[in-house]
Amino acid sequence: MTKIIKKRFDLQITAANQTKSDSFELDKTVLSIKGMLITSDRDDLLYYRGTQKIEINKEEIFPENYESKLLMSGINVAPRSRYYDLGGIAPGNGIIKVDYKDSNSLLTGFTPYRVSFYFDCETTE
Amino acid sequence: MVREKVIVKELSINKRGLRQFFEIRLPRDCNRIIGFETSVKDFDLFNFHHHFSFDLFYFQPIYPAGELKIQSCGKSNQCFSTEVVVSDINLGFGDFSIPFFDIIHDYPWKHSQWTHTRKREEEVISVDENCPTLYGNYKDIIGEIWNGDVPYRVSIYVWYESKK
Repeated sequence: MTKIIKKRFDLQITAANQTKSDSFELDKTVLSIKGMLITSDRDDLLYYRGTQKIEINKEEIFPENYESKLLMSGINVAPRSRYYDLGGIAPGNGIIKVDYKDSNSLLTGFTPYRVSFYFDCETTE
Repeated sequence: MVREKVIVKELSINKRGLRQFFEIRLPRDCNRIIGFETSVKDFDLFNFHHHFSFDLFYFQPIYPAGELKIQSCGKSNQCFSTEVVVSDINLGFGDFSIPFFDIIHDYPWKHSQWTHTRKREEEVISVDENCPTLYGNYKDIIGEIWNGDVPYRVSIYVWYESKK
């Protein structure tokens, strides 16, 4: 029997105008990745300053300069609908690589912030 | 196996009424174009909101930043046309959480684009003409409405199906 779980991975952004890269490993029990969502403890900085490249199993899902605002959902969106539908990607080697880039914006200054990536995963028990 | 992928094209606008022509080269593994998304960056929102009055009960018109048209080199010809919007300025419509006569102070739960925005999804199209290049043009509208040069950047996202 399969289960649906949400996995969260965090990146700490401590310097302005820099790219922070990290790799996250999913559990071996993950069968497919159904969706993803990005949030932050400073949503305004994420909205105006953030772009990211995301690879799953070495396959590019979102290219460089894909804006973070396109993967954010506000409180007006029903919780079930907030995740960006990835269609059920096979995890392969289970490695998710994220290259998050913080860029200057006229609309907000910089202060260190956290970016969180949530993945909606189907797993075996 | 069919996969969905996306490529990004950025335009820089800095003059009133500027019309910019551009090309988007599609990868070789592009089987079918399935959608477009647009986004505006570095737009002076403070100036933007100054052009509109704050009224809880007045639903204001949302002026587009510009107009985007995209053409394929096949029979579809012009396959996509949209108005590129900066943001939804009516997010606070009917929001009684803000004291009516105090709109200048920064309340922690004031409606913002990053707290109340809708879920963004691509505008769906289907073009499978084996076209190596898309041709597009973007025309600035907001500069003409405000009668001045408004600098900002437009990102165009092309979603396509890749067959491997």
